[in-house]
Amino acid sequence: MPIAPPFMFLDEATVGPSGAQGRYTITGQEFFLAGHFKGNPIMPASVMLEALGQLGVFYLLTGLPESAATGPIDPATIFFASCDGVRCHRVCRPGDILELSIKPRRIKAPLAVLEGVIRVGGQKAVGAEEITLTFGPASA
Amino acid sequence: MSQPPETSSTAPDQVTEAQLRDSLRRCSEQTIQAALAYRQTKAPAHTLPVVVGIIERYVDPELRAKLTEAGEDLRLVEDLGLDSLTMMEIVMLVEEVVGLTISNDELRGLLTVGDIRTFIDRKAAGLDASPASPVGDHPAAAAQA
Repeated sequence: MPIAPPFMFLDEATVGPSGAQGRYTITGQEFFLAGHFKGNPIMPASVMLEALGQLGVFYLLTGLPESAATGPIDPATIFFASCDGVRCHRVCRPGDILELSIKPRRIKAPLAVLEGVIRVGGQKAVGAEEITLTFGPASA
Repeated sequence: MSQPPETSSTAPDQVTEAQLRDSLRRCSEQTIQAALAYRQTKAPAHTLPVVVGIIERYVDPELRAKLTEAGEDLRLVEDLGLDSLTMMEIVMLVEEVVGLTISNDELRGLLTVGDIRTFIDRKAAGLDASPASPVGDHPAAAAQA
């Protein structure tokens, strides 16, 4: 993964036939919670979208099917390109365990379009109809 | 190694209405109806509404009116402000909806809305749609060549 603390929002992740799943526990020690909000720590929606993007990075690097015909991907070339249809359904606070999942919708180099959901205790917290990541090939 | 994405494992002619609606869920109902009609008939009359409807989804809202005003000569980059990555997103969705593949080389020859429409119609009819001889007779395409 090209991402590291303090901006890594995956504690664990697995990849399977239909996408990838991950978990992240909001500890309350995340640096931005000191100000978001004052005396009322709430996980920013933008960071939860980032967490889904990070799970997408994990999927691109470990779970991309051969049929995608992208060849090896350079981790340093993966960037967020766009997102559509994002909805936040639930406030997430320290102690909540985010259960993240993404599944591929369309993949064609240099783009991967993914669908993502975050649940907490089985309850939908965030949904993103499309998260698009751009990526480049690893040099030979 | 994992299996291919479900969206890529379905043969183009086996795409159901539900799958098509899912692919086009951020497009207008008019676009969905045109796509359904295209998948059933492959009639060229349905191609332009599908292409315009998909482009409309990705264009900045303040520029969408141009799509209905300017017609097929509308230039994707100069007039609609589409960048290369957005063009790729449009192509990926067009491919999925019409069941055709557009290579990156072919993509470089598609400069206007009409280029895409003509390209799809020629390719669906089994004709040469190579951008080596720019599709359509648009001045922009000729200038690019």
